Amino acid sequence: MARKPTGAGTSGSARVALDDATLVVRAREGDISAFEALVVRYRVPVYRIALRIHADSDSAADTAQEAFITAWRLLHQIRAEQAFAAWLYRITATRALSAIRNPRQQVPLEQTAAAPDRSPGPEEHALADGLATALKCALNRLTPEQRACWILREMEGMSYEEVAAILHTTPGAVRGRLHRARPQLAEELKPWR
Amino acid sequence: MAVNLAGDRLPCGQQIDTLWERVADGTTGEHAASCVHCQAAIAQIRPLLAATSELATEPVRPPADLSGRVMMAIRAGTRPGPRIALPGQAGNRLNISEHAAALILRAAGDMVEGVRSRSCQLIPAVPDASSAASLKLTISLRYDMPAPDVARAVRLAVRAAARAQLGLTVDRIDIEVADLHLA
Repeated sequence: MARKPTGAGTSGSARVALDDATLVVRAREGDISAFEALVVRYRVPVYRIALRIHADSDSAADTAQEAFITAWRLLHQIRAEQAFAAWLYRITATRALSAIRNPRQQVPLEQTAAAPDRSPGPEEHALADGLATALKCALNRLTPEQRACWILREMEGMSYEEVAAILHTTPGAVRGRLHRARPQLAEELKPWR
Repeated sequence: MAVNLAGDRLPCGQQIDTLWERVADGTTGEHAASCVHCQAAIAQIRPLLAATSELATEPVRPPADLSGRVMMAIRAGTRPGPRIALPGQAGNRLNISEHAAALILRAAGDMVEGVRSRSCQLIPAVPDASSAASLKLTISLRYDMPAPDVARAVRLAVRAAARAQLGLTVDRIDIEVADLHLA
């Protein structure tokens, strides 16, 4: 049986190409560098989902960090290793939503009192210099659950079923939230019609 | 004219979900072209779709130290796992952590073409017996590789590494092909 050419073993470069399931199984058995490969692979989508739900980069970075650490601790719970990404996004969205619902658990009290209102004021809205910025402002006015549905379905391109699984709800409820979000967002983008 | 996008259908009977997907695909069709309700809805949907796709493709850069912070927290919280005693000079102990031994043996399996080692469980020999350990290894096999030949090569490679790097004789090596992968 042929051996792999030199350099195709478990060196850093080869490890990047390993599939998620292989990395998950190795990480579960204590191979920290296998988990590090997963962190490197998924840091952008995890941070992106967190950022869009939070709309604030510091909270997004905290959520992303906590999501990975939680994933490491709960790795033994994964049943389908190849579904690691969906499982990780679920942890991320759940953490982001719970941080928004219970900000005091995350932030010391004095900072909470001084924290600015998340929804942009009229001046900020008037400053919106383009469609994307206007949508960003409009998304911040949705409920966190509606916003999460919009982000996962319309921006991350997931199916209703995938979004429902991530948000612990039913595909019908996801559809309903999107239906209610559409006219609200369309109204805010009226000037661009 | 403004139409309400909140419902299921437009007054003309057109399903809003379907129209939404057609606008996204650029295939709105003949009915929509001549229908005032559809035209009004499309006028609302278009900027929303454009804004969504603009925002979705906006590059997002996580903080440069995100991976570092995650890994530091994980390393700090990881306790040393179980140890395996390796044969050595009488009166001196040589132990290796199970996970370090697994790293060595998985790497040996990985050297065989078409193999990605997954789970690796080394079952140490009973102390003071004839010092033969056994191993359970799961692998992902490249779809075009012959499993029996690969298994033979993996056993050879893993036994050699166990002997050379750990000083262990491994007699039984059970291999399970848990998955197949493309090139």
